[in-house]
Amino acid sequence: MNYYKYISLILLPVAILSSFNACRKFLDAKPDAKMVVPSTMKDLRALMDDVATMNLSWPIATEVASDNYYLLTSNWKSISSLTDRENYIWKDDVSNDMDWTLTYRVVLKSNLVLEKIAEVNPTPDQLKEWNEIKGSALFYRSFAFFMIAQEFAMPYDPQSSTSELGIPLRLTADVNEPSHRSSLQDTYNTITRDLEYASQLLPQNTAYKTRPSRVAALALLSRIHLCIGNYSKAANYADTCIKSGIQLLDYNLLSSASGETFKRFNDEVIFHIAANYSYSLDASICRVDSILISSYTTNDLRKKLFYKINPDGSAAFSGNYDGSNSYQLFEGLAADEVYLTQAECLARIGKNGDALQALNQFKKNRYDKLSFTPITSTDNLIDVILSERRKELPFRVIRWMDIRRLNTLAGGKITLERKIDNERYTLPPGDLRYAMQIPTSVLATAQSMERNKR
Amino acid sequence: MNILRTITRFNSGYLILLSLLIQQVGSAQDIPIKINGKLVDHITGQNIQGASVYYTIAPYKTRTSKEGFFNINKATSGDTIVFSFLGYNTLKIPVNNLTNTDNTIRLLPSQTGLKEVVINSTGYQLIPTERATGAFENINQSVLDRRISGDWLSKLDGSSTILFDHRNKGQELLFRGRSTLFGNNSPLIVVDNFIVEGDMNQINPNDIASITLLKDAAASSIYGARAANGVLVITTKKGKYNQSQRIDITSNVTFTEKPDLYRDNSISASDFIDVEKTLFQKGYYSGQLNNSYTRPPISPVVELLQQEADGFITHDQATKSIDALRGNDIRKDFQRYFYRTAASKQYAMSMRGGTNNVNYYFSAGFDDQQSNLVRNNIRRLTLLSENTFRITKKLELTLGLQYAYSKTVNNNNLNMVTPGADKTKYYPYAEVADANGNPLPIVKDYRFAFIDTVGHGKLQDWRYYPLKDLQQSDNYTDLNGLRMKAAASYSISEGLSAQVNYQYERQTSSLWNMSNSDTYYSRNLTNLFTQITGSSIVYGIPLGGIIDQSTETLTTHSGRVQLNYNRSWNKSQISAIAGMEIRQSQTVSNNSRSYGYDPNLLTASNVDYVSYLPTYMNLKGDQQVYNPQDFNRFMYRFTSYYANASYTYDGKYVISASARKDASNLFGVRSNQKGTPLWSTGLRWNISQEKFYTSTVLPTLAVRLTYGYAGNTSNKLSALTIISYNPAGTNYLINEPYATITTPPNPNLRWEKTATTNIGIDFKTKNSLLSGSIDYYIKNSIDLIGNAPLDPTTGVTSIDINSASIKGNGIDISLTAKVIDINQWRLETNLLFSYNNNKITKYQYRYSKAISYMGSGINPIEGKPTDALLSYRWEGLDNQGDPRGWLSGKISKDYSAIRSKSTLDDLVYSGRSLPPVYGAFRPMLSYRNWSLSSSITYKLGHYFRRNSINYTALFQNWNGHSDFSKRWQQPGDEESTYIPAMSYPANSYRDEFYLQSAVLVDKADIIRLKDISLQYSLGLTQSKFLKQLVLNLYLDNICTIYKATKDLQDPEYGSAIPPRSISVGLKASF
Repeated sequence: MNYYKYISLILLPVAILSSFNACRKFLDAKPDAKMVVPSTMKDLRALMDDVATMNLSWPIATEVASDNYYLLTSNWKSISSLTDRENYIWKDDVSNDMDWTLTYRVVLKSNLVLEKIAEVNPTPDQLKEWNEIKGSALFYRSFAFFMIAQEFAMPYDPQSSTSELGIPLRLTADVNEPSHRSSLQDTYNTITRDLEYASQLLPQNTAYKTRPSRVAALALLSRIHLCIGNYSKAANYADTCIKSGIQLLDYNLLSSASGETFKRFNDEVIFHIAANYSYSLDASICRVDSILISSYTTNDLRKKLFYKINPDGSAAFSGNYDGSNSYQLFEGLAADEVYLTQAECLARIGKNGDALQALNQFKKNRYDKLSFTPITSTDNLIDVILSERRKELPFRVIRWMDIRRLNTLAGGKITLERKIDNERYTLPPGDLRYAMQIPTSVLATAQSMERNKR
Repeated sequence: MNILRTITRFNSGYLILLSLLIQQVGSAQDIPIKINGKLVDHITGQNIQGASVYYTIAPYKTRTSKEGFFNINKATSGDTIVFSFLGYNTLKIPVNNLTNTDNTIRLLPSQTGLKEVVINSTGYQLIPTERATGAFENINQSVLDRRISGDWLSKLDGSSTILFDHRNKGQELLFRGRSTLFGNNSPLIVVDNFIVEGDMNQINPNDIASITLLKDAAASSIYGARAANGVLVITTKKGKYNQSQRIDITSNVTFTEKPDLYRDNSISASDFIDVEKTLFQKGYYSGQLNNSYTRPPISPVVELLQQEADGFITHDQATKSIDALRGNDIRKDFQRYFYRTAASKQYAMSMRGGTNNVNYYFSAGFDDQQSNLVRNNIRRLTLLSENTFRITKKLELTLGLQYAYSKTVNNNNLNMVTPGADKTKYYPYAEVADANGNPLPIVKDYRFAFIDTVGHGKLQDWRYYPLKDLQQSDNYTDLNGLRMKAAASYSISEGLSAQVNYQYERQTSSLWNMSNSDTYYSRNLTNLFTQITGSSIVYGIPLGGIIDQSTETLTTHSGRVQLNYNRSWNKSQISAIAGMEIRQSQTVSNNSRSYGYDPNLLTASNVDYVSYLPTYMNLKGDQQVYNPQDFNRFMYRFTSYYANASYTYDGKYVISASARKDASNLFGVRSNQKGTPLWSTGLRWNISQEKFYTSTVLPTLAVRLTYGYAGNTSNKLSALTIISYNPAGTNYLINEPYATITTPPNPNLRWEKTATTNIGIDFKTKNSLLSGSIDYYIKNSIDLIGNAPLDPTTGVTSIDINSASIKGNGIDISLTAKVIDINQWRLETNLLFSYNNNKITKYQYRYSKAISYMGSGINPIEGKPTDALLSYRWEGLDNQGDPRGWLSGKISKDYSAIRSKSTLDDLVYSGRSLPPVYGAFRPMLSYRNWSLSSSITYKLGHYFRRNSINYTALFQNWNGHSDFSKRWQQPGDEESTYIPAMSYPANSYRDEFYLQSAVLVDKADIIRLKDISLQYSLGLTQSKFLKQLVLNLYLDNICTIYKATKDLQDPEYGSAIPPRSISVGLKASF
């Protein structure tokens, strides 16, 4: 009988000890099959393909504050979001937390992808994909920085850009790294440097319009250089972009009767992103600025395609490139903008002939072909182009950038005006409110974050 | 006996084995035999001295020696030896079942013996109270049996020191307050030996013998990294060796009243209509009325006003129609058509017994629980079987099997009867049925003016009839649970034994939700994806029903190898265990949906999930057809090593120590692989055993002191950046899988730890007039995971870091007094008193906005309790009816600035939102066979935030409050009311300021008459057939005795106070 006793006394510890090694493997099992520590290119691709985060949560406050529309006092009062109401009348310290938070979320994902892609050694077969992923991350980050700079930093002025506050340039995924604001010059330097690099990495075209392509990088570069007044660079990028085969929709072939005038991902779209929803811009209350409406001539096809007439005679916008009835506004890049940027920049650097060509190329796709005659006169050419731009790009979250840059130019005098309950609110050129205040949640948590001046 | 035959079929395998063993008894030869052996305590293994040993036939009697030995001669086979000792169940063993030498006879301590021995089960070992250093709380069967309920957990509410927090529409259990901030807060539940993770309702309350709560570290640290929230150990009923067969039959029926819906403080229909009229005049609805894109819901009154404005009806017609709605009340309709008086039935049967070598317990239960909500009910079948075989004298084998099946029918989703768009509640004058009870439509996603004319008959009816849907819905969940266990224990040598335990648990739940073609859900979705061009109709979603199915299977394996050592020599007694445990828990689940289901042919149709399909009249732009298909697998693994030892000297001094080390596969926490060692130690001094102790007032007195650690794991956090994949079907715009960042990396993550110091006294006065225990404890929770707000520029708005500490303390008192004990009249009262308080001693982060500290959950502030209730300082209304607060030392109405600039110091701290003092008072009066008992529960010293009018929600979401009628209306009203004037446009910050201000904070103290039970029990000692009969009348949730607040709502349950119920029960034992 005693044998059993000793055998079991010996066997038990042996069994326990031998289980140690087995345990190591036993505990290596993944607790959630869906979760991974990102490492492969597939993982990084999946991070960028998160459309809701990367493409559909872009800033909106600058559009709410722009002059494409007006609200009736009764409708303005019915808006429950105080932020929306305050943005409309440019209150001093509106806290646009959502725009900041969601845009920097794009930056975080891009940074994570950039850090992880550096750890992947691609095989020759994978190199193309590797380049595309890295280029995409650089593109998203630059676009995000650019949109943040339009909302939260003052307009670019080369005279003061090294002393003027830019935006926080977060270049790592480490959340423990403190944020601080760079100079405006550094902000734009980083954006253009990264985008130029991205344009070399990205493939000419991509499988989906939600994924950045080289064409998209060129289009964005032309926009940014226009914004900071590098007209020849902007013209060059626009030119390269146009030559890579972007298309304009011929509005003569579109009909407003078909219900949905513009489709999402239509041929003109180069890169698709859309803005956060704001009730202020909802077609049911958002009335298009009457001066803007009256600036369209009768043979301008956009008048019918972009707008619906409300029962009271006012107009509602229906020319959304995210699909006419989408509740989110298209905020991405499209061929029309590139043509207009090219025309303007060429005109500004004195190449009026080329500018006219670009303008006419654009216009013939927008006016009734039966009555359209190309422009030949170069009188007031820049103003003519700017007027086309004004009529082409409302509700594309780009007007704010245009107002800001045009006001910094000599003779810039766009003053925005609102009326609520017979009280007038104005936003004159050069006003400090052109840079919205850093959101309160940021000021409270980022110790060294500098406020915008008031 | 028919019942018995049925049971035999269920359990025939075991019964055959059992009867074979019983048959051995008969074969006898009349030769005198010598038998010797030793008598020990079955649980502790201690020798029993002085016990009587005698034959049933032969006139021979002896007593066990000091070491528990006995020696008998002249035994005759066929005779039976009786072992009996005070405080133990008498044991009878046929001579033939004993060997000649070295018999070890184990006596089970009797539950009702002179010396009441309470055995605390830790799930690893049994510890008698006399030798327990830790804080155990034992809830015995009579306490559990008193209440009639289908679920066992609710029986602990008010009969234990667990605090049941009912505030958030469920129940949260708190053992001695919170020991975590944002981590898992639920106690660990152990059934018999192992952690059970499946649905707790699969355990039939009639199968539970006792529940032991492990409250301090010495008691619970054996569960190591998962014990910080306390452990609840359930012991199921078992058969005993040498016990004659006993059959118990229980049957009861419970009737539950309809709940009172009128406590929800809703705005009256008439007031609501007046608000709508005012808003209409101000043009508030013009945006919605002109909306020709999404056609948002418009209430009937606003439609009438618009018709009047458009000239379709006259002012008088409009007024008349509107005034007719003023008397409506949707709660009346809900109460009438959606609720009923519920009748629930419960039947249970159990059978137990044992021979010398086999014991068994078998039970079957059937519950039919009707819900107060019409068409909702739960049916449950439970089976339990446990058999223990003594294969040799040294080897014992236990096999157990538990099966449960339940079907939960959930056809009445009253909380889903909500309007669409941004509305959260129905306008109070909505009617779901006409005077004859015929279903009426109410506005849901689109305005009636739109859906009444749309489609020209080519669409399905687009109106929503809540009552029709109630009749049409077909939703249920099937639950199949199986638990199997096997245990073997082998006695290696004297005092040393080894045991192996294994448990397998598998639970599958399948959900079936069918919205047939007549339900609104199906009609709405089909219409939305219908395209009509001329005479052609294209359906993006085929006509027919929509079925959602999901299945989840939980499978766990738990294994344990353990050595037990129990030995006594001289005055010393040692009891030790050591072992290892391994555990795996896997959950696999999937969801799927089918469109176009035809219930007659059992067919469904294909749908294009990939393309963006046009919606009807572009109501929602282009949309993908919703496809919830998803698959998940979670796998948690743990390995643990543990040891526990206690040494008792002379029955006076006990010292105990316990240690455990856990490792797990939880994501990337450093402690995972290294393991977290947790330990505890304890002392007990049975003072009354000392020679110098001569008190006759307190003949029993003992003190306990323990200290140790328990842990809390989290599976939500990670040391590395984790991304989570999502299926392509849930992506937007493109058909590609995508990944989101789940947790930002946090390399220094550790498991949370709680250190507990416990000092306790157990005492009993002469004749047990007053007995009880008092425990004082200090809890120090460290390394708690705090939720730190992060600079949003990082891309993340908060991060979880081990950064917080809580210090808590409290007292648990349990007192039982025998007030009267004369002439069969007995009055006994029991008082449970708990005091608990805590304070956050460390919290590194501060939220950026004061409003973040006013949530209903955890508001982490250094120096304040975890459940601190804070509010804005209140300065009353001004002469405009605007609420006034404080900002930078001045009275202010700048709500936006109050919101963004108030600091913690500007806020008013009222107190805690959980009761610091709570417990129950339980008197019991008995006379002869009658007993009347009751429990009165109390929760005192806490505060709650009342709800009130929120104008933003009233205008935008149709969600109003009855305080509206008491609002400020004209200058001077500020003297008599604190309810702000209606402001237009609504200022959400003004509403928020008022709702979170100190004026709405009230005392939450409450005392309830929880229940009354009247029992008549008849012991039928003469009857051979029926041994005992107990009749029970039980009233539950009777009434509130005292409530500090005048608010209509209950501080704890809000408007959903559990309705009263009455039960009648019968229990018979054969």
